[in-house]
Amino acid sequence: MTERRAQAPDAVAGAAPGGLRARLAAAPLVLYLAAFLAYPALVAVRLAFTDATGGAFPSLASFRVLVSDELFWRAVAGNLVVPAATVALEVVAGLALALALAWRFPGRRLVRAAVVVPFALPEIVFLTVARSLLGTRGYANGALAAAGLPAVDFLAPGTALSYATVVAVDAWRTTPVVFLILLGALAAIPEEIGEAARLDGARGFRRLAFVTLPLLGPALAAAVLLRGLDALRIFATPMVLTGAEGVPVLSTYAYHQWSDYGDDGAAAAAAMALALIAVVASIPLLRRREAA
Amino acid sequence: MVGTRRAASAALRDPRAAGAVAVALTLCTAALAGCQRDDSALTLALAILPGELPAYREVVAQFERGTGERVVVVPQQYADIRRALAAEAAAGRGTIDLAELDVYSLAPSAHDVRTLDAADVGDLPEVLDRAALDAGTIDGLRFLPHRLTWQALVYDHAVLGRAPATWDDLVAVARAHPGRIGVKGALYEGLTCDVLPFVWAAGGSGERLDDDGALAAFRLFAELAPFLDPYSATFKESTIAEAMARGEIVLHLNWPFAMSLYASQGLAPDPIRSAPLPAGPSGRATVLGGGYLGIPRNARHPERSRALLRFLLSRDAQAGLAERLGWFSARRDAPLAGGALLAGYGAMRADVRPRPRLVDYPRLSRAWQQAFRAVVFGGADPERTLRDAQRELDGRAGA
Amino acid sequence: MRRALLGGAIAAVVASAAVPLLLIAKQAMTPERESFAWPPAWLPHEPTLENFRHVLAGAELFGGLVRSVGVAAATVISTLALTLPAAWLGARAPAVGRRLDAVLVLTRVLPSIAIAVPLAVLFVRAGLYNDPSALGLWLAHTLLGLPLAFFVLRAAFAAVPVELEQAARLDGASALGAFVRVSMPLARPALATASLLVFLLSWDEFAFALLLQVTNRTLPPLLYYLSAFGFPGLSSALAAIMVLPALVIVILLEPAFRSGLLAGSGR
Repeated sequence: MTERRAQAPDAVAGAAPGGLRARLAAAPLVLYLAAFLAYPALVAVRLAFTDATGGAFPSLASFRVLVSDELFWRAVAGNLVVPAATVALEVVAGLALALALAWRFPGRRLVRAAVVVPFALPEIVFLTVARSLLGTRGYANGALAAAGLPAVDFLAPGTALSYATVVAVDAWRTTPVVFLILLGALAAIPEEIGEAARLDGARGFRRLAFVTLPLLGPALAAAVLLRGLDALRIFATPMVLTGAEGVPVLSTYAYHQWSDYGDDGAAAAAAMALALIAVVASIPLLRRREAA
Repeated sequence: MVGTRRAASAALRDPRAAGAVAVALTLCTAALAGCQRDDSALTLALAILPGELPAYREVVAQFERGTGERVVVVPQQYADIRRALAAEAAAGRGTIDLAELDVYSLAPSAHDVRTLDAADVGDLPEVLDRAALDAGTIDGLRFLPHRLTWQALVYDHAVLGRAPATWDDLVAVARAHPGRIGVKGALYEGLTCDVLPFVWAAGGSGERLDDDGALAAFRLFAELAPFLDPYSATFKESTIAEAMARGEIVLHLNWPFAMSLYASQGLAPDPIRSAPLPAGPSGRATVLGGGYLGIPRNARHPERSRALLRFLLSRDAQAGLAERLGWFSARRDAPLAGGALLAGYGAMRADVRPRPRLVDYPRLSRAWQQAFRAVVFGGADPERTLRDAQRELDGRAGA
Repeated sequence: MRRALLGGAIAAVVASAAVPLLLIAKQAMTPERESFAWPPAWLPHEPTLENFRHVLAGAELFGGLVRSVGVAAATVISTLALTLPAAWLGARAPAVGRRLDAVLVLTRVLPSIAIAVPLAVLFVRAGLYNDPSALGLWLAHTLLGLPLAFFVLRAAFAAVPVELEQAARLDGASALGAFVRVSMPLARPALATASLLVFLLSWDEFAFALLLQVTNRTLPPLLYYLSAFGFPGLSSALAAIMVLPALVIVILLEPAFRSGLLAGSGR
């Protein structure tokens, strides 16, 4: 034990001679990040505080455009509701799938591979298919019509149903990630614990609630944090399914300002608002990584 | 950690496979480098549909045969061409040799293109429509009208029988087919192009939101609101055209490209046809659009670009475009495009009006868009909305 | 009860995997004229390959394909070049590794649009906007690939025992030599995994491609425009072409998925 501990500082010194030379190994990466992440972020801040029509800096004109735009506030609300609902749905669905498919059954490798397909497909491809499925005259409504049922307007702008549809499609696409994380964690639970629980009389639901779920706790938390951050950045799903005005979120709103009005400042300001929300939400994740 | 180790040893790849992958990667990257536009071809950036491209290429082929040049046609959207043009002007070098912009983008992009002098344009100023030529003259002649477009009514003949000819007809059709009238209601310039024709048709100037014509038009919008397809809140030219193709709506306003699109999908001239816009209290009107060609400031071969420009505006080429694509020409001596497909468009030729030529047009346009959405999707009172919108515009103008 | 739940789960999973693939295949083989029939058929009446022919014949579409492949390949090379030394350092000096981690997390936290808009503005000034070889996009994709590659490679290097490198150094090899001759070969599977993941990331990437390339596009924005304009057949043919490498890569990566290597990386 002591031998290994004595080796540890040596290991760094031996394998990476001269602290400075070693640090250089990370230099290209750090420089790249400085050039293409840090610098653009600063440029974005500058853009957000520049008046798009006059070029005056600093100026709150871009923020005033945002604040007075009803679509912006709808986008803020959307950017809080949609990610929350999506993560909740994926975690529940991912957990259910992991629990259901953790058992041994013939063909389980194939089925587990099939779970991954919606995530494996390129995002834009998956969303294009979803759009053709859920449109007013899409395949879903075609099937409903064939069954004699009335059509459902899944993507009608301004309806709660359209929000639910966007949430469902996004969760459909990302549930496989949660599934994989939880499946891995489930597999790591030693057999003995399950046996012990069964011997102690805990069966079915009780075993699930009092034995399995607590053991999955850390993995669940990791999945929620990871997916939560990603979900805040949601862009393509509402963009492709409903357009910027249908189910507005901050990313699509920023894109709309950029593309439809050519307003760099407002786009940057909206992006900054989203970045702020994301940074605040990521604090728990960073703290966890520090502790790990 | 343990799992990684196991994966590491179990899935150890053959060194030869790694080498093969490295070679493949390098080849792919080299292929990318080859993507650099080859210098000998002329690049023409146009806003046409993928479906119109083959027919357009046939016209361009005449130029290629005559001069031995090669022309690459890149279909794009106007907003994208405008950005690309601005980027190339800022960078001092570019790949686009001739670009088409919509009439709305000419002013902002004026200094990204070269001026055209008398030698460049030959006798074109005499044969081109005066108003069209003026639109392309910003600080000198910079743009020549490639084609003129305007909106007309696109309707389902099988369902409606005949197109509504007056505003009352329009309301009646809407009541008879609730939820199947489409408007391009997304927050963008296309919405203004749907609003202005009605404002003008009621005698409004289009430059003020609170005049009588605007009020009459917005009262009409309020009356139509309950019968609009709800997706109108997000429709743009492309999605509304698709909705019509799928039979979700029976009537909407659109540019001639939609008729080409439907023809390629076997939907025009039956059941989808074009018709003039319904007439309002002061007659009919429609918004002028159209593509204008300009030579980018940093074009690599300005002489060759000019040759292509002269060709595209020649009588033969314009006639070819009219015949193959149904495009309207700004040349006074070009044959009228038409056929049954574009009958509605042809009938509106005399009713075409350009959008207000104001410095602050973008702000005015946005005001129209937001007023329309407030009234139609928000149920606001037309009079109050228009008055408030105008007041805000005036207030901003002073600031 | 258990059987019913399992059966239900399997049915749902198989449907959710099969439906998208079937629809892509069906729409790709349906001539455009049939695409707008109502009610929509689940099988084409007259299957045809004309959509694929259009894709391969159209200059912009084929160019998009070349561009997508090229950008993805170039991104793999640049990402690995930047990440390999840093991942090795991160594995050997955990303190440095944690700091790099924190910084790289930022690329996942910041929304694409927050980086894409200023990048577009900067690229316009530098002449990289809408470059025919998609140079600007390559730079952006490299940025996106860094956290992924770093995570995978660092885990792999951490699994290589330090003693092996030390033994090599005792035998007279330099630090770099030890790295190349001892650690890299052992980490080769992870290198393969990281390459495939980064390739797929670039291949699928939509947001930056939409903003940074307008007349010289890669496949994802092309697909978006084609489907928005109502060309279901053409866009599905393009989608089918896009799906192939993605599925191949996922099949190749299945062992890595199973070993939970990607548990924390979640694309």
